[in-house]
Amino acid sequence: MLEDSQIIELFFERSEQAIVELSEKYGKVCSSVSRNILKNELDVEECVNDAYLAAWNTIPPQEPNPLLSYLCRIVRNLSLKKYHSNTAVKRNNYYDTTLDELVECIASNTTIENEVFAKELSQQLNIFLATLRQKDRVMFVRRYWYCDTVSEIASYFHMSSNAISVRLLRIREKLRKYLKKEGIYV
Amino acid sequence: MIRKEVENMINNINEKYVQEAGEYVLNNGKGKDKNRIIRRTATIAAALAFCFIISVPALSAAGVQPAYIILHNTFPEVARKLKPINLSCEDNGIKMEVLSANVHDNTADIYIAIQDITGDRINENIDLFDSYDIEPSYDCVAHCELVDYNDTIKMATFLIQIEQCDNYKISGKKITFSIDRFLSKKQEYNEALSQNILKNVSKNPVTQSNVSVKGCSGMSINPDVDPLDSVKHYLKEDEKNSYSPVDGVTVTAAGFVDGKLHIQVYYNDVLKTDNHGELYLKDSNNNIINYEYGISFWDKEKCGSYEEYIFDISSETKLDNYTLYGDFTVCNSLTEGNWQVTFPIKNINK
Repeated sequence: MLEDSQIIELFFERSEQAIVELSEKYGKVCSSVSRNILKNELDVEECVNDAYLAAWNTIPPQEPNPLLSYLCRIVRNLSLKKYHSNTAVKRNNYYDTTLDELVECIASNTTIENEVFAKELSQQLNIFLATLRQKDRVMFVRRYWYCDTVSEIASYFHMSSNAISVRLLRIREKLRKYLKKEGIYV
Repeated sequence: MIRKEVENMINNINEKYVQEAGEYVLNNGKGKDKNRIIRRTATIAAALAFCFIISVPALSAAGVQPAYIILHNTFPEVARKLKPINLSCEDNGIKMEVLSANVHDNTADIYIAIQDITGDRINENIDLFDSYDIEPSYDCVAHCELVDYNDTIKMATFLIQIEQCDNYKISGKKITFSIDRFLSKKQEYNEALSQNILKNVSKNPVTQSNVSVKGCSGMSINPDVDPLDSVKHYLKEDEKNSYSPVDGVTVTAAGFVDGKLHIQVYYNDVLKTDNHGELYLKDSNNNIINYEYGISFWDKEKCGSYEEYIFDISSETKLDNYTLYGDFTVCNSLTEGNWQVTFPIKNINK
């Protein structure tokens, strides 16, 4: 498998091999990110292909480094767009459940400055993540950004599903306390 | 509205954390990382180390999140240079000590002892409850396991095996091993449960839908079926017919729901005990019947956990021909504290 820099080089050379290599290296990850949001395989395939097209259209001049998160973010955004805009898409209990786990950590801010609130919330989350041990941070991001199941996360860390659930609960509790201290949780 | 805010919050997680979590799994969760990320971090650390060293004591004095943790996450190379060497520590009457380290090129075997010097809280099935942490972790693979227990002196010995990635020599590297809790005196239970459970299975049990799901497991016949889509109703606790085979575990309800046999078990105080387990059935020919799905959800206080085991058995089936078994692990001995040892990797013998 090629290094990211070599794949980027292929993009710059406008070689279609770039997409082939990208797909071989990160195709599974991209499909997994999309599948955790959309439950329909056709929709997943469409989003992943659209993501490759978006990569083709943006590189160059973009020279993403790192490449994995750049690509996954495109896939995730496309998948979320499809999930929210297409009312025919079956509601994904699983995706909604992962969001619901975090709902308790914040309270609805009903002031007119919702945009400011949203930006502050994101900033605070990133500061909070910096304080976590790597293992805890990876668990959190895998659960809520990548939307992995508890069982999948358990397999990555060679732990029981129960241990992962407990760990995630502790992290959420820590987040809730942190946001409360910052005046975001009511 | 709240969900939208949560979604936006998650969408804006910093790219470096998305990358970190992505690579962690690609490398099978072994904590390997790309060389360029290590080099980039070291370059930033070198450029800003002077400024940070000046501000660390001020941050610590102000009671800000321990400066070392922020330092370690942002500039790990600098953090390691600042961390003092500490071969043993003690907290809550428990002593942790580095016994020996043996280095071979890019690998090291380190033996660490955990001893109860005031009580009787450690035994041969001590479990670090995955609270242990080995830093740095991003450029090496590490594994920790219990290798010995001495009941006379109440001392458990753990072996930490570390392998430096990319075949770089490991000697001289500074490692911090820390734990903040452990369990011990676990009990295993694997027996047939009271026949009354199956005798009292209700054909019209009281059910609920609004539960706080925390996970699901099991061997679904159709891998494309999401258990959370298939299971709409869960049992409500039936206090009259509850049965506890072992402390910390209670069979709280059993009934047919939406055409399948549901048996619900409550695990007490899972945050502090790691109580867990599973159920299975055996028929009259001693064949094992596993549950199709196991869905766990929190109790109201989010301390205990219900697990609903769903068997693909209809209400027409005669349950007299089956025996219900429970396979449980329970523990009520949690010890908490703050134990951390930091040491350079070189041959150490005590």
